[in-house]
Amino acid sequence: MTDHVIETNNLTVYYGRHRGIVDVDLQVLTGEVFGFLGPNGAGKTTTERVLLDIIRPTTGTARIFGMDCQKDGVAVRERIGYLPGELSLYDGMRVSAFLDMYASLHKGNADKSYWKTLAERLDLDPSRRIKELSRGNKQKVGIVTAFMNRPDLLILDEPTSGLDPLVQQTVMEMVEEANDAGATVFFSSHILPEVQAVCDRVGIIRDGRLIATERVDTLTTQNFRRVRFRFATPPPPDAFVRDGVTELGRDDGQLTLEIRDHLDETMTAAAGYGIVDIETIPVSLEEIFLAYYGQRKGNNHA
Amino acid sequence: MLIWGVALSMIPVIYIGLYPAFADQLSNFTEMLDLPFYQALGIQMGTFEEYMASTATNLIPLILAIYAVTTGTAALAGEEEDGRLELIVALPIPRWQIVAVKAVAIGITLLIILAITGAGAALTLLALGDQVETVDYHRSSCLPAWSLPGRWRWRLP
Repeated sequence: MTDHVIETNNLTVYYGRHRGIVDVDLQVLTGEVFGFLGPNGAGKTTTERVLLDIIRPTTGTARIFGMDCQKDGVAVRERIGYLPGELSLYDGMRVSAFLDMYASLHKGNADKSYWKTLAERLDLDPSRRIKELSRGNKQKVGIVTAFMNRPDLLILDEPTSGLDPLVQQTVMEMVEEANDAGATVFFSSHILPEVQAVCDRVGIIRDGRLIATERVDTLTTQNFRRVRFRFATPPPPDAFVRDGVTELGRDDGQLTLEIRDHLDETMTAAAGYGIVDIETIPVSLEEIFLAYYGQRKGNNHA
Repeated sequence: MLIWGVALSMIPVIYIGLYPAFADQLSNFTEMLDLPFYQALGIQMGTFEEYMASTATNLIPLILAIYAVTTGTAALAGEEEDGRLELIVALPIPRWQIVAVKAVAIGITLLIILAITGAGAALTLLALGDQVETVDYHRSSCLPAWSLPGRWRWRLP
């Protein structure tokens, strides 16, 4: 039991008659990076808010570090760094005043010099007023608050949203470093390369139910890509009919294909029609995930 | 908070400012004030103190209550609504402490508003000087001498 940092049992939240999450059984192991994926409104944020005892479950239990999230909430939160998905700050305050206040409320686990190091690393100017900050800079403030108490568990809701690519990379480096130093990370994201790069396992939540969890390396061996070609001469309709290749759309010289197999053959065939332009369309990990499970189910039936 | 304080101090300032004119006309009102309706409301206008107690001091607690309710709602429900409380409740602080701190903060602002209002009233009284006839509570030691500027009394709600 102690090797589970997060453990929920039949966790269910209803907002009145609206579904939040239903029967979520989640286990996050000590020291791993767990990616939490799912479409908007699926229940990612709801789950995170139960873990922090911001909302109370209708039924079921949630435990962190083996302690009850509700009963031992204070002791649990002492060791958590949390970044909410929709960050909202006190507009009138200066960044430094806010971070000082936040650090002091951590009672000794966070200090001024440490948040300054974090702010510097993210290139955040602490003398600015929060209302003057851009969305990305506000996000940096949130990230500093999540890391400043050197938490054993980081709960991050879309940590890189609103940040430019360079800073995104810095944040993911910080996540990895914290993980190397022993912290467990639980985060939600939409960005596939990010999840692929840092996560050990992912869980997919859909319509409030955790439909499955899987190791990332199992999923990413799936060859699954979408490519849009622009041709000089429109190819005939049957040009790309192969196993594992699906035509998704066609408009004059433009053709969109989903390629799961026979990549090389497809590319050779495409070259015959004079490729003017080529573009790969990002596939979400969730789609890969669902494809993987759909396929496996299909195989089981066969 | 400062805006509330200054705005609220306008009430005693205006009522005190009107008093000299009102006192001249007082005889015209005495008959009306004998009506049971005004008696029931406890409105008496015989002296300056009674006049203030029936006007400004009746209004101010009411407005302070409105202030307390609106800021109290904003401090918890409002911050929760727009997500500002999200970061605070994620801290290792028990919930009751967050509520208590907010309540104390509102209490302090109420006292500051009241102080500004009182100061406004006191300044108006000093400016009007002799035009207002007040009971000398200093000498009759109804209140400790340090509590108010000597020659007048301010009834705290």
